[in-house]
Amino acid sequence: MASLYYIPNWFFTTSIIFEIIFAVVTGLVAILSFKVYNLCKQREFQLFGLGFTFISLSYIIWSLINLFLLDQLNEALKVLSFNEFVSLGALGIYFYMLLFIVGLVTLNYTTLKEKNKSIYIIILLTSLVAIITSFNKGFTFQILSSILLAFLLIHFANQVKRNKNAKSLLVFIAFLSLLVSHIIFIFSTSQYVYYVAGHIFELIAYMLILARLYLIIK
Amino acid sequence: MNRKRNKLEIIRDILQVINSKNNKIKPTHILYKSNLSHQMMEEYLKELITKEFIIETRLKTGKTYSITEKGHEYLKKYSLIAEFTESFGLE
Repeated sequence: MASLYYIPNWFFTTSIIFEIIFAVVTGLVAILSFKVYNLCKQREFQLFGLGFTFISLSYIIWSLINLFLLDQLNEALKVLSFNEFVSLGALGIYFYMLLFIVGLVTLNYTTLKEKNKSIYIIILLTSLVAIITSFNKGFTFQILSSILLAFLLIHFANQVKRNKNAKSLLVFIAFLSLLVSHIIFIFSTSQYVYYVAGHIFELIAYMLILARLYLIIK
Repeated sequence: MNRKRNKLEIIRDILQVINSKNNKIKPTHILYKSNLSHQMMEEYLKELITKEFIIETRLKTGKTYSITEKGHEYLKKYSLIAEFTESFGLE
């Protein structure tokens, strides 16, 4: 099996805190989207909420697995063998990858305003099969998520062009940071500095989204 | 020149028209005030009934429309809907 990520020891706990923050922010977007759906009953809001729910779940799984592994590392009496430890870590990351991709595909499908469900299923199955059958799953995941984020970024760029306001620009910069973070993550299979940098860009992205959410509900 | 209204804005306009007429209005009045074609207005009214935003009452003199609680809630929270829609480009 090819390596997934190099994570520096000193950053492991911080990265778990980051992942919990990402889970909370994406969860908040999902909740607000479902709230808007309940008010206007427009299908796009339900799909958008669903997309962010998958992304939030992906971060929850990733942080829970990392918390468990951290606990195992700190325990004097180890319950897991080294192989079990590595396998559990890899399993957690695979679930994170699959859920994150489902979330991004759902968001892209929403922004395309396409009603044909077959298109959604084709993109979803192609993406998932590509990751599952890939030798280097981490690398394939980051490439795929970067492509999906790039398409989302085009959508938000069009919104900036159309609305010409700071609110739309904020969301655009947030998704640009998210794209940059995933491009940086592509290199995290070789050097840990990229893993740290990727997380920092991801944090910037979600802080901007949180700021936008605050302005919406204020 | 005014930009084209999106679907959420049209729904808000229709609900506001109904609300402004003491919550009881004939389709012809909606047609005048909402600035829609007859066919478009029929489609929107049908959708609003399905979503339970308005109710249709059939009288001897014709049909009238009234807003439901859900319709009022839509008007009350419209700024939240519009802000969210604009932020993520979901209209």
